[in-house]
Amino acid sequence: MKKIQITGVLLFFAVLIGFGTWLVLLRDIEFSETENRYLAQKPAFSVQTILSGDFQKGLSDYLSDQIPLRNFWMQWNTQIKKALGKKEINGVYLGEDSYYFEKFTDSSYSLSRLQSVFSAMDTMAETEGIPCSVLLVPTPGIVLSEKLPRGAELYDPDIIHAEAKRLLKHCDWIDIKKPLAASEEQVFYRTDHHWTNSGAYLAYREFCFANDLAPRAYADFDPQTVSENFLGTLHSKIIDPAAVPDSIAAPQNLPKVNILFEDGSSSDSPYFPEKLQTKDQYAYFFGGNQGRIQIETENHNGKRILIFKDSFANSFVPYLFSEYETICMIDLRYYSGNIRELFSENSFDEVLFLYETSNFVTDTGILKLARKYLP
Amino acid sequence: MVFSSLLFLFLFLPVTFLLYCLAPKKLKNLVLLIFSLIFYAWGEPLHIFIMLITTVYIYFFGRFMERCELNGKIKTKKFLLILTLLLSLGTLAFYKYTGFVVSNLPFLKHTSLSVFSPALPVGISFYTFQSLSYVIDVYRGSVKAQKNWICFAMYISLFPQLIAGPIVRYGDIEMQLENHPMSWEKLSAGIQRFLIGLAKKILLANQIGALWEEISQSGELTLLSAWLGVIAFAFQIYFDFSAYSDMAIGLGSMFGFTFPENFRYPYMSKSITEFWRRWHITLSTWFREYVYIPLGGNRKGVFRQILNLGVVWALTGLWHGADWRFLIWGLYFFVILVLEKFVFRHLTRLPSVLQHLYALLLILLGWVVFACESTEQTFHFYKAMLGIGTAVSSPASLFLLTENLLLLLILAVGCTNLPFRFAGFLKKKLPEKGFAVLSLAFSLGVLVISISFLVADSYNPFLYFRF
Repeated sequence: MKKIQITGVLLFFAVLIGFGTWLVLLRDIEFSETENRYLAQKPAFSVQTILSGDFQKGLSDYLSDQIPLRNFWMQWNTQIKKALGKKEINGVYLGEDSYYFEKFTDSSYSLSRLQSVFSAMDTMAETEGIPCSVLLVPTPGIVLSEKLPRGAELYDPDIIHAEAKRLLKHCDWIDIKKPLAASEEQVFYRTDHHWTNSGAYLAYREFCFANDLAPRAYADFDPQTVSENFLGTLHSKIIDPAAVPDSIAAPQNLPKVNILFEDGSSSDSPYFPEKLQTKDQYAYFFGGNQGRIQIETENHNGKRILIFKDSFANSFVPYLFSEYETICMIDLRYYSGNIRELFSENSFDEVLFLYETSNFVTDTGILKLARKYLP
Repeated sequence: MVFSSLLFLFLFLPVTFLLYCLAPKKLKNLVLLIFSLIFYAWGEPLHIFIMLITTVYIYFFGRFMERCELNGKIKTKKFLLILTLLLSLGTLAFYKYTGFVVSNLPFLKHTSLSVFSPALPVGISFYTFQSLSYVIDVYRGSVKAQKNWICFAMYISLFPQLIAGPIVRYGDIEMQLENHPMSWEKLSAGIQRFLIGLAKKILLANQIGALWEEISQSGELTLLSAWLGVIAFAFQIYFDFSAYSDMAIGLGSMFGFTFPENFRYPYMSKSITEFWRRWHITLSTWFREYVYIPLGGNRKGVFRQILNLGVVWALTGLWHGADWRFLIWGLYFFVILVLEKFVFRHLTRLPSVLQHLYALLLILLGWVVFACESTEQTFHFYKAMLGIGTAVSSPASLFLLTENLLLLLILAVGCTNLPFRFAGFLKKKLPEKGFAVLSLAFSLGVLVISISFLVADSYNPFLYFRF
């Protein structure tokens, strides 16, 4: 009897001490591929940081970021929650056919902020006098609503649409929800929040219709599968062992281009195959996000487009290579240049806003427009 | 620092425990005191001085009072008691109620006081009550003044019960302070109790707390979601609070102490009177011992008794926080308790199912006042619970119900004594060794699962930061 008690006590402290020592001795990881972010490091130790509480907070952040076997614990956790009948784990809904959907509701964003962003976009279009179109990709759960768990709450896209209609007087609204919903193809990844190559193609088609262009057929682009083992950001949030990996496809039959990146590098292809070996395989498209990416194509039709965008545009823009001579992609989260000067130095023929909706309504970068164009 | 954190589990607890074991017998209490102070200072590096100052003057006043008693200076003794009460209750009132008083007194609104509302030091309500129990008992002569400052400071600041109770009265622990030997039996029982508390906090309270948060923050309520919300809150507060008591009692036992129980299955009560004998027992005992009985209790006639109860329940309400809603919540129970004492005397003749329903309903209605942060929200909830102006259900409410159904069932069983009785049954049926091995495996399983939840719930990646 006593032996068992002693064993229990020793085991308890062995787990705590063993794990604690491991935690302290483990080599710190600077960047997490799974989570795609920098992890907290050992906090600075000084009287000042202790009195302000920064050291204490830093240490607990450090511990939870650097905990060994994080994926193992996460997996366990997901399994248990699934066994309890949970359909929402860590802000991710577990949908039908192994789809994951981000939980994004009406209370996840501020309507008044959205209104000022729309106003700023409208004023910009009016001041610059350039045709402007807006393409907001609905969050996957909105499009694939039949795959959502019954009753799972998401934001109401009609509220955003109504605000757009009311405030965007000088911009065209391109509706993409219906074509995406009607498509037979897989338009969104199951494990990632982005759209697939097919989803991006449908947006390209709608964009062409809205701008009186004749879209090329999908097969004409010669789309090829480049990866079959993509586990994306939504999977990272829950680490579900039952996840079904996605394939990434990309159009291959594209015109010759020269791409100039903000960091000074250049490339003749929008694709970065080495990124397929990393966790964030979606960075295959343009290697990820940069403040400004400028593309010159071999079409000498003189057409120049400026695109304000988030990462959804990265897989969409290759389709536009056939339509424009110059494409300028601006990611306002990272772009530090002056937007008004950008317009005056380049004579753009049109402007496109391409964002995923939940990203658009919470993005802080786009507030730069409000600062430039609103009184 | 909180018990349910990686820091406490993997660094603080093992280090403290190891050093405590290694320390020579004379220094053991000092080690415990130092680590208790570190534990407290971790989250409140400056507020620790308030606690230390309180500890110092109460220690000296306690000794003075005892000397006055010996020298027959009864008046000085009384003066010292009043001074201590003023000082420590004054400190408590200053930190806890300044903001509340200022915001409710119109003539203070435009003075410089109106911008002044100090942050509440963690655990001040608990350690103030503990130190008062000491002073009053020394005054009454029912305990001896503590001569050893380390023992006394350790009594006030002992980290297991420092920030959330149980409120250990000095008399209950006086004998243990100098002598609290460890044993394998106490250690093993303490670890099991601690792990049960840890699991209650992380696996049950936090999970159901998410449901209450979701419902209380959503603007629209249905009949279903309002009831779901209140039930979720009732489970959250019970499992959260009793988990802390379990962990405190367990940790205490690991270091050789025996702390009083704080909860005895309160939701199994058949009346509100019974509920308050089972809920936060050490607080009710404290108020009975140091407020109700000194005011005369039930010995001065019915009118005085009711008045005394009114005082106790108004104070109990306000103890929970500086807000009208807590006062109303306390007085709500005052009214029910008086009714139960003088009017509903035949309650016990009802079938016991009805008695349980009666008690649970009143407890739940009380939690609405306690939980809702504004009067509008309270009425919003009451209206929805009665089905006034709201739908019975909605797809979203049904989603929340199905999401949490299994958890709610586990909680419903978990808040009764069924698990305890089941363990007792197993103990009887199984050979002694078999049962010990089983409960060991259970505890370790609970530890592993709790860690996984602790890690997963701390996981808030800024996924879109770089995309």
